[in-house]
Amino acid sequence: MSTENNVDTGKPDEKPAAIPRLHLSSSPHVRSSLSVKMIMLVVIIAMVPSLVTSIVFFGINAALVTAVCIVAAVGAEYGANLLLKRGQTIGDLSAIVTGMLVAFNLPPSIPLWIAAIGSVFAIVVAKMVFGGLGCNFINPALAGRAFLMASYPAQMTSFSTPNFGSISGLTDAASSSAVDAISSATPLTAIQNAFADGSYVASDFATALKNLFYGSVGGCVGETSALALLIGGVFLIAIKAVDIRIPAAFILTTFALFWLTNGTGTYFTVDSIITPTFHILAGGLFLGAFFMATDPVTSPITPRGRLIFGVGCGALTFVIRKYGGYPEGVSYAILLMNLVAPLIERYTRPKIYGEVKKHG
Amino acid sequence: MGDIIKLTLTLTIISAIAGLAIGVVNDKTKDKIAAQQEQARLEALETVFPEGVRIVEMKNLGAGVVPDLYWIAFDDSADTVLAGYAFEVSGIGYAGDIKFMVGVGIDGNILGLTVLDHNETPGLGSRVNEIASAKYIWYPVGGDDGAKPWFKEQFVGLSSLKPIIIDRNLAEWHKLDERTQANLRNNNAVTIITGSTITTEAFTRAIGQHIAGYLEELGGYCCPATRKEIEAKKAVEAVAVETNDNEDNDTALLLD
Amino acid sequence: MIAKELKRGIITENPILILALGLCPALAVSTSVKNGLGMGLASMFVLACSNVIISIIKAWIPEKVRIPCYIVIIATFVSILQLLIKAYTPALDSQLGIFIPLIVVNCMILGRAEAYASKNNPVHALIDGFVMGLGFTVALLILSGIREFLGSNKLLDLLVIPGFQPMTAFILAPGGFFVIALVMGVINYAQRKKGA
Repeated sequence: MSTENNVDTGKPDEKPAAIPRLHLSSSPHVRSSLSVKMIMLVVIIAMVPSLVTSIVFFGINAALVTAVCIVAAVGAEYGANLLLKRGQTIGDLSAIVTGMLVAFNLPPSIPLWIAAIGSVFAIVVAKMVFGGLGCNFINPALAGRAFLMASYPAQMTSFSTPNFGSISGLTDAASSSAVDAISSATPLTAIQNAFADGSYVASDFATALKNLFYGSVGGCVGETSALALLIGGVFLIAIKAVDIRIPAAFILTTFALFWLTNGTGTYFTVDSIITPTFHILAGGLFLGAFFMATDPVTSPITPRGRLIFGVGCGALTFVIRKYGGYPEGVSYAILLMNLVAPLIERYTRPKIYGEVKKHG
Repeated sequence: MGDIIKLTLTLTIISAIAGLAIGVVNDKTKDKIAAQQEQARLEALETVFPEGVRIVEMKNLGAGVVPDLYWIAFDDSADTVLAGYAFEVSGIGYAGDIKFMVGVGIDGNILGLTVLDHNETPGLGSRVNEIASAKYIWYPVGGDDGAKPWFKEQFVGLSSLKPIIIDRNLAEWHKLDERTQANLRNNNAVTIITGSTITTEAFTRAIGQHIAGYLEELGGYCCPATRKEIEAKKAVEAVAVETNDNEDNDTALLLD
Repeated sequence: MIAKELKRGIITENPILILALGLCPALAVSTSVKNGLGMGLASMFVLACSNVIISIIKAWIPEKVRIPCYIVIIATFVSILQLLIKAYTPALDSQLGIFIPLIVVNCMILGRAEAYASKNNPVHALIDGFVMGLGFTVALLILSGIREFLGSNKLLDLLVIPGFQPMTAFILAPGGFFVIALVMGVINYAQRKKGA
């Protein structure tokens, strides 16, 4: 057995031909014009409307938090690659996307060093330790958010109402557009409290829906303006960077479950769809459905699997929000489904042409 | 068959010796343990009441919600009789019951709280007994800096007659500034131990469920009374009983 | 010989970090150095005693019921330990609480009984129990030192860095897993470098 990359051609006086170094791997071989960098770039573009509305509503804080998260994420990936002696991967822009997503999940008033810690954790522990891009088993941005929720719960749950506009009946702080961002509960906490003490009135929230849609409500940096997120999400779907199945299944399932249990006793009136609409516009559901659940590494690759994944996310969000102790269910729902994604993939494998099912 | 007998016999002998060993140790330590628990109870009583009161143990022989054993504190100075009560209450914590002693004044305000027994997770729920020391490792000065267990401290001054609210959004009590702490007290609220909501709820729920009922049943003493007033009241009652007999006769005559 | 045994128990065959025995109590108790120390010493006591007894009567324990026998002996020592702690150091009892009875199911103790005490003479078994318990304690001190510092900015209940706001996640369950994973990873890396 020759250990050199040479082949014995059989002719004794001829120099052995050098075998070209070929990289062998098994199928599938897919050639695509979309590189990782391009996909990340379009995701960043899709997140820009949200970033802009966030800066408009929350001021310079939103921009600072985002900037710090991005810098921390890129720096962490650079450092981790050095430490683990791998080639540098910061050129594929995935660190920037993770940084932005972490920032979108944080309240704008969070101390910057906490934002940096979350970002570093997301990159190092949820991504680099497992092998880098493509090897993480959960969404890094959500892992970072979960870590921060466990570490600094007080700072992670103090929100501010934006600079203008308020939700009548939902916030307990006196609203005045002259005062910069007042601490108050998010719409979801307010509705949870209203449910708890019985002061919930469906019509109160009709006015709130408009504010939720445009974004003048309290919340995390990226989750307040449903409209901006919708624009970004539709853009991603239109250029086929993201499969419509996951967001559609997610949002429709959450809507349907809240509609079925909407508490007004009716099903086809305007009243009955206020609560479900409220729930899909609030709490970062659009952010989760369009940008985080669709992460190709941590969601199933099969079409049917994606539908199941989306439905699962929606169902878990419903359960956590309605019956659980947290007002925010999206991040934990997606994390739980991430864990199950490989299982879903296994059981929804499309049949290979000619494959015969084993009996017994 | 002989095999099974041998196995059973070996196991039995080992278990018997083991049981004997535990029994001997138990015997030797039984009194010490009981003494420790009694000591803990005495210390608890001293913590839940303010300084300078005289504590009397009361046995409740009647039926009703008041527990069989409770304590009354008398403040013998300034002629005031009653300082408050202490009850041993049990709340359902994360891992079983939490037995604690709470001292309440006659107006229902909590004077103090001490945990007697719990099974909570060390590092999480067991922080009910934590004393937030402000000492640093670089120059630990001797003696204690007077720090109190903050979790129990936050209950002092709250009313046990109203539901105690849990504020989940604020940091732990010892990290808050004075104004926020005063705010919480005004709202009859406490904050949680991070990661141990259920432990905190055990306390608030147990207090809310039991104390108001106990105080109501011991109701004869509900309002502040000096010794003189109580004796005067007793005298009036004695006279009333006598005059009642006479009065009844009068009214009876009138009605006829 | 003692030095060799010490090295074996603490470094080369550390129960938690190398043999991965007793991880559950390690994760649960390592939230503060005081707890870790208390638990480590308690386990060492139980391990040494049970090792000796099992080694002494190993000839009479039939193969088929050896596990129940070991458990009975271990449980006896844990019960004795608990009674002694309740009587003489009630502070430790309220600190460690339910983890003292859980020493019975610490795989390290049953594991050493099966792997060593049942096959060696009592003196060796005693030494093994002692050094393994010491290794367990050392590993617990490392883990709880990291977790207590990062999670509550304290060591032995005394504050360390002024103004540092600790990350509570390290006191909770996820933190335990992270820390133990990182420590084991570092040790594996060091071992591989030495071996390679």
